[in-house]
Amino acid sequence: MNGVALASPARRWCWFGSSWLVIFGALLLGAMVLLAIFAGYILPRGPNRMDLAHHLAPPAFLGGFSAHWLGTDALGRDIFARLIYGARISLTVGLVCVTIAAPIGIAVGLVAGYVGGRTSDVLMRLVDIQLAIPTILLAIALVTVLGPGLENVIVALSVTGWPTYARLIRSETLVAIRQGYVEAARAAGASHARIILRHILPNTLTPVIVFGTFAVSDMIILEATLSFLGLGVPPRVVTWGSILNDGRLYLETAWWITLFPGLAIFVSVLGINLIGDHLRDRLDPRLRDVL
Amino acid sequence: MIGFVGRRLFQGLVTVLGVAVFVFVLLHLSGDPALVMSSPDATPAQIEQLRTSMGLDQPLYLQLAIYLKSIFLGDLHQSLRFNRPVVDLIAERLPNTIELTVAAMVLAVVVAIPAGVIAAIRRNSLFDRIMVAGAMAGQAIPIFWLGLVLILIFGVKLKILPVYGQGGLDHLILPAITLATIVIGRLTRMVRSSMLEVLNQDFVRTARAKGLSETRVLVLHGLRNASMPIITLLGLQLAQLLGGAVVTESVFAWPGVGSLVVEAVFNRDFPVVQGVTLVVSTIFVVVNMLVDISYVALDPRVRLES
Repeated sequence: MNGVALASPARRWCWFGSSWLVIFGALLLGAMVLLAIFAGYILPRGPNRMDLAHHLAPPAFLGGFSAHWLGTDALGRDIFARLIYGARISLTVGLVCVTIAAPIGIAVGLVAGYVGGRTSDVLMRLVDIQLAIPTILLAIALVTVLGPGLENVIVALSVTGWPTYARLIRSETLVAIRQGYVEAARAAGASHARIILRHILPNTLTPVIVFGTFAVSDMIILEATLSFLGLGVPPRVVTWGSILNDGRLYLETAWWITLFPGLAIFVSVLGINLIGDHLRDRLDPRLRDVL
Repeated sequence: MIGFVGRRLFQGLVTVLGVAVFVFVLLHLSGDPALVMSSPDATPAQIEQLRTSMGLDQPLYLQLAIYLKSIFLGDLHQSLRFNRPVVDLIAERLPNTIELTVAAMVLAVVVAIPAGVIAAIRRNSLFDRIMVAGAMAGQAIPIFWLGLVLILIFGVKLKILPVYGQGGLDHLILPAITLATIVIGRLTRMVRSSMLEVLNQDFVRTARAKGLSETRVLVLHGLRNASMPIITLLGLQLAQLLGGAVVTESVFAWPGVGSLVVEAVFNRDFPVVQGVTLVVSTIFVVVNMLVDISYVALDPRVRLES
């Protein structure tokens, strides 16, 4: 019954046309990635060059200076330059954190699912314990202990990320070990490591790909949140969150410092989520109620 | 039933105990906790004094035992900044965080349930599409930015709502809207998909065939049967809301445990960070335990399985 319901068009989310939305998402994200990659060519002066004569200048379309399309901040730094250079760090942090967290979670989930018994109980309790702590609180506690700095922010965010992968992979592994191909490999004398790595792992990765896509956007928002609170990267490193932190003091007089980095986060996260939605619907519609 | 509740209580207790150990280990990850908690310009003598006064010179297992014992006695150490028991600080601020979180949860439910139900009934209509697009956008907005934009519009430009601190009900409006945005998108999608699933079931067709009014069919037969995944999601989203409260409180200077923890980080007041993390996680575990137990009370099928 459930299978029929899942497959029915009534449960599909993409009324606009699935491919349409994913193209839109890819365009949003692609534009942001291209701006980040070619930031050095677009604005070679960099994100920290000060133009004190033009500080707190409004965007060019509101009567500001044509040299500063999106206006300047209190130190006369160009907001557009800070946005596109900030995109480098913000997007990279999101991607790197997922690249670190996913293998840890996958390894734990594979062991828990394959070995079972007490090992599984202990590992899954660890997962439960960490998931009981709100992510942002855990990230704050970790950054407090590890100290400020880009590397420490990446470590902290990666630590917060692994448990969900472990939970997903464990449940997939529990299904996979009952399949004929695993029994066949076992009968053929394959070692545990070979069974796990060659047979189970490739067949359990689909939810990880889907969840990993959404996780990149979660990490981008989490890093921005830490930097906004002043707990993330050092002042010289530009990220969208740190620009927002700079702007909050000037909300009344220079709202553009706050508005544009938030829009950049929104556009990137929306782009990634649209791609994630498409991947989920194509690869594993069962995840629709989970992710 | 009693066995299930007992098992669930035990699991909850183990998780809370695990969080306590986890928070303890966290502090020791740095190698030297006294260094983490000292100000950057502290002298070696001051660091040594802090180490002795907090018992950090004791063997690790002894520190853990003392820490766990003090937690069971309701003692979460002294705040280094305020020189007051952490429990007192949390007790002062926690009601404000709960007020904000509950307001956001109520707002999310009031918006998401009708929106999800209408979207499900009018599947593929313009309203449905707008709801889905809105839910998607809501999930992509960083809430601290939304908070700032709301301050800009309603506080700075229109000057119709207070934007900082706590006061009357009007002070609660913007922080609650900001915080509720975290859950509204996902909740709307969940209500919609659960309703679509339930509305296709035979018992709904039977209810309609009996001649019941559409409202009765939707509320008594549809929403009631779709409520289980919705309640589960609400329980799970509580962690998101409590986490989101940290940021929202900082944006709106709301005097809750969230803003307390951010202040504590700047003051290197780790006992406060530890205490808030422990208390907030315990609230999350207890609420989810109650959600699980409520299943047994609400749904005879779960009672039979358990």
